[in-house]
Amino acid sequence: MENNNLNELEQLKAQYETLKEQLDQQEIVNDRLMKSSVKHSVDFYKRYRWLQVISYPLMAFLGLVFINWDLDGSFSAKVFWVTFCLAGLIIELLLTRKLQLKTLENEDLLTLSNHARGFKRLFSLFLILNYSTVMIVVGGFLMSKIGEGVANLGVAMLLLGIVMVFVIIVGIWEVRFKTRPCDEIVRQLEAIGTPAEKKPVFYMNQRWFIIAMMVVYLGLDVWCGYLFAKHLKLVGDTFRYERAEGDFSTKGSLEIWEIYNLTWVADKARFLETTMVEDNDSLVYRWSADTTELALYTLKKTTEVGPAISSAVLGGKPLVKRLETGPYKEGTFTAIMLELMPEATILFKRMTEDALLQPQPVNIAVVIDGQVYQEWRIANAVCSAFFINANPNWSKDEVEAFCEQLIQQ
Amino acid sequence: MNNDKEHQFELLVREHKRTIYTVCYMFSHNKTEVDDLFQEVLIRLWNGFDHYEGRSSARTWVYRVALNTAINQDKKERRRIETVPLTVDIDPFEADDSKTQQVRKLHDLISQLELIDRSLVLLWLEGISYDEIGAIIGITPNNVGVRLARIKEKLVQMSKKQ
Repeated sequence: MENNNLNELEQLKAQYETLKEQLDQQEIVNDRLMKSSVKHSVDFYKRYRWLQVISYPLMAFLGLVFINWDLDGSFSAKVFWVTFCLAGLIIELLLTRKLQLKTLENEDLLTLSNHARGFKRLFSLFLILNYSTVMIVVGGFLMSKIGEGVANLGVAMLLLGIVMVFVIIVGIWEVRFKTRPCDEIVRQLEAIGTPAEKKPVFYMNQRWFIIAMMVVYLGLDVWCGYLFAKHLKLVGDTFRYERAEGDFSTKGSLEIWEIYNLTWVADKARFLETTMVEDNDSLVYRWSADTTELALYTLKKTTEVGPAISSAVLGGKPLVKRLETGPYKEGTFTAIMLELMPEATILFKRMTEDALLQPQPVNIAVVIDGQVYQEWRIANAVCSAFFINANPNWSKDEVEAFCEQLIQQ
Repeated sequence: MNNDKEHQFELLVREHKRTIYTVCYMFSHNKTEVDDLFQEVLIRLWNGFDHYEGRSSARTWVYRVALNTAINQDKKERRRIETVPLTVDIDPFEADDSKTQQVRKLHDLISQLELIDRSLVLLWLEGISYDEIGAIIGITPNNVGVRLARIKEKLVQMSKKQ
């Protein structure tokens, strides 16, 4: 049996010797082949680098054309886009250089396969990041078109969904398909046993370089999305004001009242003609600031001067310490957070705590310049801040002016 | 300078042409594939020629590059340039003479093995030491020995079935 096996192997060796004999008689290599091989010695990584050198400027050019066409030639968008393309190009060129891929051809099979697999995974990750940038830009663009009536939300969401599915499929395909041959080779090699010399896929400095590049790239992605969203007015401006230390000046009248009653009115003049509306010792009447839904508020006097909280109640001291708005977006409510001064905070806290002890729910009104600007029901004890909404019909300048008025109260 | 480098490269290729051809033959299914792969190996050798630096023997280096190319290279990638036919007047895939038939039996047998096993058996048939095989593949000489023992057993079984 043993001898039979040896014979079989000897036969294989004999067959191999025959092949060698046959080939020794052949010229095999010719001048044309040698010249062609030297002339066409552009390897994958070289071609990949050339592809980047060509594609990034092209991408930059197309982006600039688009910015001129649809974004009114915005300078900030142009600067961003050129920076993005330039950074992408530099990162990719540095990456291929840093990995010293050319020298890999001289490495052993296991090391080469591990490097190839690592590089292909990295490359796929880059593609996913690139596609996600495209998705953010397309998403921002589509969302901006909703406002212009060009696209509706359903179509935009559908398109975004398609792009997202495309990104995920391409990403998975890239990783699975491109790394499969390397995976197979590494699997076969690892099945054999321990490697002669365990070499890391990427050396430590390369690994940190790759991570740093990824972070930079991801940062650029986020920046891209933010700038486009901001440019396309998806992210609004915010306003923030704070009273200066030691500034106790006041201007205007911000008051907080307890509501006694509310009457909805269809026609103000007709209502005044038919109804006697006069302040008395315990009640005052104030119209709502909202002219679309006219309401007459009956407010309860809870202090000597009337309102529960006002500058007058505090002896001429200011009420508002700080205010901050949410992002301004045309046609929507802009939330304004008002933070009160310490003395006003004490009063407000006491007022809300007392209201919670009442058997009936208590509503309070914010009165600005003699008109009820906003009302709400007290549901819990409020400490130092509360929200009011700016009129949705106001322009950004009007909201800003309103905030400037409030901070002086 | 460049001509000198090209001359040295040509000398190296001519010296190891049989080695390269054998690897290409064992990893191909027809003559055209051999021609394509041979040219790709030459391109890889030329690309790595500057970095070779003689750290290992020329034969080890040529085997490394040839096997790396044969195993890792995408076939679609190879067809990016026009293939220059090799100067070979035999066709080991088609010829009917008794010698070629013997060679073909060997090819058919080895083709049934996995890529790494194919590389190992090829290096063993060439009479390369386990140390050198380990350096080419990237595994220890002990692992080479264990794996080759299994492959030989497998080859015997396959050979008996043929």
